[in-house]
Amino acid sequence: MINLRQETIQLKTFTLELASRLFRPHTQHWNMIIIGTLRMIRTCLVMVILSSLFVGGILVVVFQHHISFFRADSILGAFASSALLREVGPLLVGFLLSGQCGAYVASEIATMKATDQLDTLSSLGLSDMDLVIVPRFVSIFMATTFSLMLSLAGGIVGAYLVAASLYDMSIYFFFSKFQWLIQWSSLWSGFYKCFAFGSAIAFISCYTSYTAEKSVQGVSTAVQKTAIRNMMALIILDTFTTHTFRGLMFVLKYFGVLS
Amino acid sequence: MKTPIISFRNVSKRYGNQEVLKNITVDIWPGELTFIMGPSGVGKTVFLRLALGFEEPDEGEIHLAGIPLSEMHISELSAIRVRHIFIFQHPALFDFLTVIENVGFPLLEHHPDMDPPYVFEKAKGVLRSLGYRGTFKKMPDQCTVGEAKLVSIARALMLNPKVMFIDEPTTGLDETTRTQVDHILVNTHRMKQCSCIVVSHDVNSALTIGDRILFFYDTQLHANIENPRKFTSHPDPLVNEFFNHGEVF
Repeated sequence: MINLRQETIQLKTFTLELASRLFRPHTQHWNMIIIGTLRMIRTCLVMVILSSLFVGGILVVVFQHHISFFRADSILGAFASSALLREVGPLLVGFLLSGQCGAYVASEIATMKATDQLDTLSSLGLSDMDLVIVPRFVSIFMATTFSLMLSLAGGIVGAYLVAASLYDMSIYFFFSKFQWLIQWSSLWSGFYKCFAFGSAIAFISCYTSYTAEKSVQGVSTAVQKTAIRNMMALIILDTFTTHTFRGLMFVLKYFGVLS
Repeated sequence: MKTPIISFRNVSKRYGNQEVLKNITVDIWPGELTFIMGPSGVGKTVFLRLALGFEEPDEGEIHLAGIPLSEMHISELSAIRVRHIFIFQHPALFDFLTVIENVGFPLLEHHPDMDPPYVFEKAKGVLRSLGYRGTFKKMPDQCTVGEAKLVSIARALMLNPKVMFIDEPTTGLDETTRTQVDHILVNTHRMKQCSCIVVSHDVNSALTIGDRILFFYDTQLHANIENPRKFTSHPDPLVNEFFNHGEVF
């Protein structure tokens, strides 16, 4: 049974601890962060490129069926790309990344906990938060955010490749109606989701593994919990970010920041 | 007046319904090589973890270096832990660092101004003095159990601790490495004047090198044996059985 009170206390303590150490310059270990980020990007790069190409391709196939009914083939590229940037791209690739990067970091931290490596840091008068959690949090955030942004570009390329090979579309024809359907807001919406999803995956993976039980079973439970929590968080965040982004756009337009 | 390193006053600890330690009252003094012994599952490791604040007691009070743990802030505890180092039963080497980096890492973290090549040279010296024969650049998963234990002891010694809490240093080691670890304990204790509190099942080591043995049985501190080198028999037959057979039947 979930002990809600204990979980709330743990969550509060972890969040405050992480927030207090995240922006302290002397606790940042940039070499660890850069190495960790590059390692994670390298691990998931092929998967991100492949999956984003196919996600773009799927959207073109699905939309072409309906759009051709209205003889509006010229908007296919822009329509598929808009859907990809605003919704589908970050969400689907986010799911994959939550499994790839999230579970990877969760198993690493939970194993360090189970094998007393985290306690050893404390026993040497060092902080496990500064040396393990903060660098991994920043690494996973940067790696997932970058990968999600990359997946947006990959998705558009995939969409074009499928449109060109299946429906004989030229590159000019594919991109011809982009200025109609894709504004800067579409792009910012995509980036906004990438940041939100990246932060969520990083936080959930670190928190779940850091608070895992100190046992082999604890490691497997942490990995499983991380995958489920990440996916649920992405679905909830997707709805939330769509609405908050629209609200943000409305406010910026109202105050004349955006035309 | 001397302050005890650790002072337990009526300390009890349980996990769920299971009582692990019950009403423990004991002082451990500086300068001693103390062995904590007893059958498996009597709370020896929990005793060490409580002493260094890795767990909190359900009842009673623990003083570490004269300060109550319950009143200590985490930063104070961290500062005290630099001088009171816990060496876990599992060597717990950082698997993303090489052997030499594992040993030098804590010192470099505490003194970022120190020159890394100097620290690594010092680390090599400490490893060699412990009898480590392996290569310095290998990863922890390439070390034998004995080598990993030596590396974890070397890592602690780099910080010049005043007290070392060592959990089962000889478990899983062959006879030669076991003797080697015993020598390290005695040398560290005498040459570096470092107090050692050792959880162990090794009766032979405890009786030959220990200054004091705390015998735990059935969640309680059952016997306190001063000067174990002169130990012949104990009024309690349970203690005799343990020290004659290495286990309580």
